[in-house]
Amino acid sequence: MEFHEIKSVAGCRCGEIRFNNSERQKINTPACMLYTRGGAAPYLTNELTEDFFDDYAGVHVTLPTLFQYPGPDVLQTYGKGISEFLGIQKKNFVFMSVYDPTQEIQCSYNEDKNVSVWNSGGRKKINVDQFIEILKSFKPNIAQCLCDTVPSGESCKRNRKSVDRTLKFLDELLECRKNSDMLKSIEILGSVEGGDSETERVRCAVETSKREVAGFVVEGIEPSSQNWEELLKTCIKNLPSDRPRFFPGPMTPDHIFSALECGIDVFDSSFAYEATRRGCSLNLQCSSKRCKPELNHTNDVTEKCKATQSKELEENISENIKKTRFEMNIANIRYKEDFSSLVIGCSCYSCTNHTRAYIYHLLETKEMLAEVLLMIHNFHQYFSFFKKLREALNNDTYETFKQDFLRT
Amino acid sequence: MADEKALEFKILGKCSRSKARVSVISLPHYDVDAPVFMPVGTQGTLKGMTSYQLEKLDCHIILGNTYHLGMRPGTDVLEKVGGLHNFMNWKRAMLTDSGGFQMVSLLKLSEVSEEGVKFQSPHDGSEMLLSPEKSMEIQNTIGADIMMQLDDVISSLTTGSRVEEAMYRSIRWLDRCIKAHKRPAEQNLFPIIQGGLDPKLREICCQEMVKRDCPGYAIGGLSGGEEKEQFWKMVSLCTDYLPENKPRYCMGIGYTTDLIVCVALGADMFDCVYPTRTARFGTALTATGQLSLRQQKFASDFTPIESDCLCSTCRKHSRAYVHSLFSREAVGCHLITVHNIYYQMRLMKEMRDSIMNDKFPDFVKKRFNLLYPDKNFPPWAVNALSSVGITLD
Repeated sequence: MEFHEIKSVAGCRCGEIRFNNSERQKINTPACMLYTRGGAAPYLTNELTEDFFDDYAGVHVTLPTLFQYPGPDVLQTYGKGISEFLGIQKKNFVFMSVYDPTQEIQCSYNEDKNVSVWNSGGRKKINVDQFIEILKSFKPNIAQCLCDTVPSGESCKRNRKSVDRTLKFLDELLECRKNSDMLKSIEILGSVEGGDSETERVRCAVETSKREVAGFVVEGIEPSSQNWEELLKTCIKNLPSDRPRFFPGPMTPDHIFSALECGIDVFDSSFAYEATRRGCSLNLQCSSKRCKPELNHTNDVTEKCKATQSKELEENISENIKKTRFEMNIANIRYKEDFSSLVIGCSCYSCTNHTRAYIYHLLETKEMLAEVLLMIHNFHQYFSFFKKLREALNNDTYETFKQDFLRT
Repeated sequence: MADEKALEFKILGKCSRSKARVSVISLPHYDVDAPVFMPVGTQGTLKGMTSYQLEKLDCHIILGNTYHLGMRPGTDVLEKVGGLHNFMNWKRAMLTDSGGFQMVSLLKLSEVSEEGVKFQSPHDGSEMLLSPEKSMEIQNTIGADIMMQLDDVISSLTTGSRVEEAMYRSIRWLDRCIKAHKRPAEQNLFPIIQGGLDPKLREICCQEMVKRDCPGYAIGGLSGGEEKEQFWKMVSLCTDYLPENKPRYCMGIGYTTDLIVCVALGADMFDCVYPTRTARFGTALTATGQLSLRQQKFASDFTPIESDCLCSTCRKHSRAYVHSLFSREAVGCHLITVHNIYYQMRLMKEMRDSIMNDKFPDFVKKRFNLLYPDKNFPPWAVNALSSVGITLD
């Protein structure tokens, strides 16, 4: 796997990720991967995913939603790897991350020798040996090395530890990889950790860059935290330019613009899943075409605000509005008799075939098709946004596109 | 206007031994190949399936529940959008029940009188009345190709004078439904034959209802836990009395054995929640029986649910994959639902093909041997089939 920069605009990298395997299609960046749970796009059978989407970069599978079911034993018996087990088309790469971007970071359970991974059934400690067993049986095309991710707000000591452990895990894996052809066929991504410590971030970036990794995952930087862009820039300044940089997490368009300008190449689409789970429909058209803010999802914060008037809450609200001005809460009764599509002019299956009123009805009656239709639409909006981003970068219209998009 | 009909029925082929037949039921929205299985989409949606998938699965007609649809989204919304077809964007045929069955099965506090079924709204507790007129009004608004009359539903285990009362009341309610039906050129009204397990009452009901010259007829009040021996005799008696040139809908039938027997007895249409409901519990249907995919033994079973099945689940995925997702992700359930609907559609198509080739008895024997490899065929099915000249061996 190699990254080739084609051009750079306002700090954004526009380029290609190329693979040694000729069956796999090259990836144009900035890119967005398909978020999955248990290896399947949430709510969508493979048939729908294949028929309705072709513009995502690759398939993003997560360790927490796979380590137990199917688990390494089943895949060991199967022998052909996770991609074939899940029925993923050969042209798509499969990237396995250590964490699920929709889960909160819980670093206090991690230890020197292992990392805790969570699923609905509970917690499992995974050490490097177990992780290697998982890699050998899952055989993903790209894997993030086991890492000790800490969020912002941890102590200096904890931040330092996260880098120490993460580098140790990486060294152990790379050492083992030298003697295993199987592991050699997996592209390993190193994680850049260090919490909110600039010193540790620099150390981690510099040290990881010295190792034989195919790319980087910048972990533990949440776009809601203070100075996150500065921290992200610091990390990336210390990474080589010939390898791709992944930045996990549910991200709104504002965050994507910022992260892109810091030099990120690959994102995941967990934001589209979270919006779906909230019963919301995304609208990622340019701002003049978006719906009025008062129609958006607000998590009832305005009422809470009236009750308490605290400053902290107000900040929460502005953060929330920022996060949710791109979505409409379809479960709101105002859509009961609204026979327009989720987003006027959207070309997705849900918008060309169904109305807000119908999806409102499905949500009201708790019918499973509600999530199916919202997920189709939200993925479509999210992937289309990335497509428009790439076009804008290629056509040198990025600044205008961004301004149009973010204008309120 | 006499030539304005909402249904045309054409028999394409008949089994030379049994009463089985292949037909096309031409409805306003679709030409339905029968014998046909109708999956149940209670609230204007079929358990997580998109219309796109249902068309790919070759579903010709689906069923909606009047009671549920009348509550939500409600007739106001359906009126404004021009019916359920538009509301859910389903382009093919649709059938709605009368709402009466839900009254009796879901609502303990319902009370039946000559006027209709009185019940308490589960939403606000207010007293409401479902009369034949009201049922027709809602069903006319929903706009399905086929509507069912409101009938006086009783448990199929009921005996005595209540059975007779329900049968005669159903005839009277049919007349009120016919009178209240406002769109006969666009929608068909099917009567429901009642009469419990009493051959005489069934006979009277058939004769009376046939006099009303309706576009098709349903056989109701069965598959509620009665002896199967009595069940098949009632179905067979009804298909004998019902006109040859009209479709016969056997209500609440969906198991493979029951479908094969009822097709042999001359029924054309069937519905059941079973294939879709059982999918949500992790059960997949196959020609050799059911698979409970939640069981641990499927965790490392890398074969498809059915090796010769061409549904999108079986073409792409293994039992192990479905097992790994089931009960954790909704997709697991959707994958089984796709397969189970395909299974039902395929079963019906194979029956149609075998009847057209006049090979139906062979088909029945083959399927029974797959389903009962030890040849412990259910005696009622053996008797039912032998009554129409098909002997199992």
